[in-house]
Amino acid sequence: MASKKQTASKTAPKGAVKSAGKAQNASAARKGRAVQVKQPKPWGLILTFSAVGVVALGLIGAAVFVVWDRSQPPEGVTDFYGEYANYSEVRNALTDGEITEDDLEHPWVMQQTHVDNEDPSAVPEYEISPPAGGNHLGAWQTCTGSVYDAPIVDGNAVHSLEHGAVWLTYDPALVDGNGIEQLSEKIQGRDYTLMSPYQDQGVAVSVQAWGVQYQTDDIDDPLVDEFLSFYILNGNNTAESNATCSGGVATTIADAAPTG
Amino acid sequence: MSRLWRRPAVLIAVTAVLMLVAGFAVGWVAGTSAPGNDSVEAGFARDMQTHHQQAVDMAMYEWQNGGDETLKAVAYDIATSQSSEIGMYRSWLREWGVQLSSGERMAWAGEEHAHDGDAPGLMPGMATDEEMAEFKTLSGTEADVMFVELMIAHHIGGVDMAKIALDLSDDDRVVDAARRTITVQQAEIESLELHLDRILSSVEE
Repeated sequence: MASKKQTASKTAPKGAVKSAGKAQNASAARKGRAVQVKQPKPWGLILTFSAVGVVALGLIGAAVFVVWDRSQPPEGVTDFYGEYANYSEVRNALTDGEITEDDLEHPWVMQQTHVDNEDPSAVPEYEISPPAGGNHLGAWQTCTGSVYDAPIVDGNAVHSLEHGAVWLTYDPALVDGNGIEQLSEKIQGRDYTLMSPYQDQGVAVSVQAWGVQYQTDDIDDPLVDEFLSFYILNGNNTAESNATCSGGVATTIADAAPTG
Repeated sequence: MSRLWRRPAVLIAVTAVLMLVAGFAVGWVAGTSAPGNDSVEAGFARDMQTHHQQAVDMAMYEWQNGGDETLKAVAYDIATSQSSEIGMYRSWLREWGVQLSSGERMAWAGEEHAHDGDAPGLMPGMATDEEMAEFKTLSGTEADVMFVELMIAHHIGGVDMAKIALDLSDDDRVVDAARRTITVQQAEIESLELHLDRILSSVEE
């Protein structure tokens, strides 16, 4: 055992370290015994470890990319958070005092008051149509994969968006019966979604979650499905987490209209 | 720089650190992506949220509008326990970094179960919109009876879903939740049947 150890200590790696150390201190080496012969560069070693290093860097890069990519919203979505990526980032910036609500381009993304708390007849107003967030009514629209065949009240639907739902609206002047059927298949029974016609929308299909919107004239647009999958209950984009979609208002404007 | 090459120890150390970081990186991705977006586990957790949600909806209505005090207590129990389970499933999905909703219901259960629901877009045992609408016009004993019928069907569907998950998954938490669902809901089905007999016989008297 002992002899084996001795020979091992004299072979390549450890020897190389020693010689490299001595080369740095040339004068000390000259004072000593024989002049050290300059050793050839250990190319094999360099190549091997460089290759491993490159693979390691590749893995790190791939890992960072995969995790980053998963958190990216679908392309083409309009968001109203300005320079921030989502609701949570704006909320954090406000809480940390980095900005105030006046600094926001669209302050309504941070406005979540029930306007009818004091005055039951108060109606919220929205900058964009269909709305994608802002102050709203105390009751939410039931959004348990609910397909409404007549327009619903904006202030109720916006409350559903606050709970993490995605609201799909279509322009009844631009989408026919087959189109409506096709769209409702995306929504029917899918929790945290709701769908309703929207008069004078001007574009066939619009999908909105809190603070974000995507509009298209193509009923088959795959981005509608991507939008649904990405934004339903999105943790960074739900203005009120863990709230439910059931038990809300389940009527439309047609139901509420005075009869006769 | 050239001196660095003469020190294999430095080279080895740098490479070792890189490999270690790479190992963490791979583990990081594996940790956040397993179970992945299309996995049985994620699909089960997503669909159970939706399934439970309807039970909460039914039970909350019964709690408010039912006639039988004992059954209303059962409804309270179902609403609160299934609500907290929805939160559990949701936190799994957030932890796994997967989407909380998928357009393909029951897809995780494999082709043979993909169309198990009684109506398009519904999972096994779920009530249709029409049934829910009808239930929500009732009160008192009528509500009690329909509640029991809807909830028994709902639980049978829930037990079926849990059994499929138990077959397909070996994730500890999923297996544990599926087992508990099967045990609890099967027991509840039996107790609901007894409640129904009791309520119906008291009506007859």
